[in-house]
Amino acid sequence: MVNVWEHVDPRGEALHFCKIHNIQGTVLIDATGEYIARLGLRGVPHNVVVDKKGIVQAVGVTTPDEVRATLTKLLLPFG
Amino acid sequence: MTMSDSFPAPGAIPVGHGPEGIAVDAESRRGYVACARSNSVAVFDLDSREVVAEVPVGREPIGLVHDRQGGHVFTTDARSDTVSVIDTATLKTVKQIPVQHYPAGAGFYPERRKVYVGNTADNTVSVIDADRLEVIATVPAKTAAGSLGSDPVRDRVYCVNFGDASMTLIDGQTNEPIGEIKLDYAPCKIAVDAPRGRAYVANSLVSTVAVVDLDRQEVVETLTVERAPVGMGLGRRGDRIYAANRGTGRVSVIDRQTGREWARVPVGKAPGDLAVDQASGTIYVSDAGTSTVSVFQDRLDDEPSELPSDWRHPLIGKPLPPFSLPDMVDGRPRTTEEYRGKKYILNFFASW
Repeated sequence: MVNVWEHVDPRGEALHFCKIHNIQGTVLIDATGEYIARLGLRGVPHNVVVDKKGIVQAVGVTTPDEVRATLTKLLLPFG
Repeated sequence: MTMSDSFPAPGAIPVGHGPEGIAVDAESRRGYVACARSNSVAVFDLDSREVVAEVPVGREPIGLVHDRQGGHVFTTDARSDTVSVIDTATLKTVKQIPVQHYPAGAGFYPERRKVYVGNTADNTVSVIDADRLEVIATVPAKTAAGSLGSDPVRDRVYCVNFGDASMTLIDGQTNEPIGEIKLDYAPCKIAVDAPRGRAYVANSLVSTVAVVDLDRQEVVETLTVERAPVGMGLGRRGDRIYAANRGTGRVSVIDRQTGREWARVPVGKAPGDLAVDQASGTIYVSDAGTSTVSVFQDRLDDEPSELPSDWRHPLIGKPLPPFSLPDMVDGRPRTTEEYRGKKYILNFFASW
């Protein structure tokens, strides 16, 4: 997960958020929003799905239906 | 970073950090926006589009309502468990009213002179007398009670419960909970069209707007919008519904009669709330990601010849641009190299 556009105390806010929502796993901080800007994204939440070759397969996919459909596709052995 | 990413869109008003709840007053030509990460309210002039004051309030103000008759602005200070009251003549905070835990939503019922506050962590609604500036009732609602809207035609107030997919109905006079309407998943913001007997509810996690029949007390239609709508507003002639999409930085313009999304207007990044100047029809959007208020006018008279279509993001099929970003826990840089040869999902999020 990548935390963006926090404005004030990004690390503290991200830690607080992850504690409240019981989020485990890697969280990175894009404090200036420079990286998300390079991807041309202008909102949150946003998911970017990357395949084994480092190629972007999907952008967006945040609703439960979208996530289900995309993950099914991505997890296929030859997908 | 490109120029367009580093600077606010033309016409956008720079305000404090993380703007959320917003209200505009056509008569005094002033706008008010709660800046959640600056713990203040930015007061701006609707004509010069300049901030004229920054008024300190409690911690993390999210909801905001304006009471023209009483000359007050109320903010719900989520991390202070208070409602701050600003005198709009002196632009000073004159009172902080204790409410319950994590108040995140606000609604105003001018005919009953009551301000309603959704205490998100306590699943309750505090009712405040807008003149005495005191809590007069605490009403039980459901999980993550938040956004509120009033209905003078039916003398009711509606509170949407984000965590319960429902709306609690509160009697305008007695403050008693009098019923519940089942909603879609993750109702986040409500706009009430009392004369037409409709409420519009933004369901942020499923990217829809539910149309609620307030007499039949049920969802009669579900409209699809772009992504993660969290702000709702009604056009001044009652012909338009606006939804601010936090997920894409655009406002969906919806024709009320057909329910069709007519246009998607680019605003700042990750917009939150929106307000409509009922005199000019101008729309003001709080851009939480850019810390601006975007301003636009809806000049569509008829259905446009081209409706927005789902475009394919230009990144799809291309290599992910490499990143090197600090880890939240220890600050060490993490890079794309670590994930070489793996399938993964990058989820971009903000705490607000």
